[in-house]
Amino acid sequence: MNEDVAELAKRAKAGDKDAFGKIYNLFLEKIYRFIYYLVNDEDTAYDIAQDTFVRAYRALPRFDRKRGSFSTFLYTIARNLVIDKQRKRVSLSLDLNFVGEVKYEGDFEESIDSAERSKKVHEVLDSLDKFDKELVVLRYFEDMSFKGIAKIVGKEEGAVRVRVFRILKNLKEKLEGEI
Amino acid sequence: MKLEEFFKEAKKDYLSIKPPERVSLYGWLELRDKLDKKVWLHDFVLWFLLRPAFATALALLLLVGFAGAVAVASKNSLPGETLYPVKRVYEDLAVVVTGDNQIKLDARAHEIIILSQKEEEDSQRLKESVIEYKISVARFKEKVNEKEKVELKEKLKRHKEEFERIYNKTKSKEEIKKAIEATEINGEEVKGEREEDSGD
Repeated sequence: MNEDVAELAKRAKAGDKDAFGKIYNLFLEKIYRFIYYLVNDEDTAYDIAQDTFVRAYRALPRFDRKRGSFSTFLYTIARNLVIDKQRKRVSLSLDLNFVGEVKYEGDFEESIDSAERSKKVHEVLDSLDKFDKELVVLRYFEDMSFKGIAKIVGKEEGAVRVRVFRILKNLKEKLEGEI
Repeated sequence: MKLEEFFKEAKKDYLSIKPPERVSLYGWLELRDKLDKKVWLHDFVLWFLLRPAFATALALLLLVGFAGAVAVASKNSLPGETLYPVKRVYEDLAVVVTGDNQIKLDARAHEIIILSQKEEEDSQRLKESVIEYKISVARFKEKVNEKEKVELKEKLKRHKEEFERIYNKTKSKEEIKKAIEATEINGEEVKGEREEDSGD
């Protein structure tokens, strides 16, 4: 897929809008999800997602694959736009609100009340600050490398590793204590 | 609950987030229109207003550029002209920055030469310029140190030569004569002061 995206990006860079349309279709769901998770508002998430792709299209001439993947490029833009939006004090809620159908086939005991478990999961995640939530999403939900995360959040890779280690420790304590 | 289970549960919910159907259907069509949209003047103005640092820097740049252009334009202005006061302010600044008091002296001498060739016989402007020249020489003389006394003497000598050169060509002989006398008297005074200083 990476090679496909690289090729599409190359074509889009040369002005091929259809190639960029394919990139849009490949990444829309992931980018929308990432933004929605942070802003918790459907319309705002859609607006920011669209702006992310517009910015990405205009910034294509500056995109250099050697400096990071196209995915990293898009997440960086999306994250910056979310931060901009929050700075402008647009009414955003950072409360976590996990919704929708369950696609992941887990092996939880069926006897446990899933709604209750879900609520507790939200409570624990909600206790994290904004930056820590971003790191959890990128590392554990989007399965990104520390190197890629470091590029997106603009920190050193080592600093990201240390922060994630602390988040895990913090979460472990909370889970053992509360759930 | 174990940490692994916690992440499994949270990721499951995270991945369940989907864009609304309308986004999947019309998102690209809407975006394609936006891609074609050019950056208009009002976008630029908005961008400009939202970036005070950039606005300040640009305003400063324009101000410096404007001030520089006015200074250059005023360089050859003569007494009574619109830009002449600017020229005088610029001279004051140049003296403060460079510490070279001869700037004013040269400018006044230059004005006398130009006016004596352009104006009618002994015009008011020329008379004022000769007075200004005398004042400039007197002020310079008050401030000079030993090294500058030598420079002032040389300067007055050169001005005298210039004034004598135009004396026969100008109708304003009376005013030029006054300017020549000013160079002679002050030149002698500077020379006398130097000799007195050496004698002490």
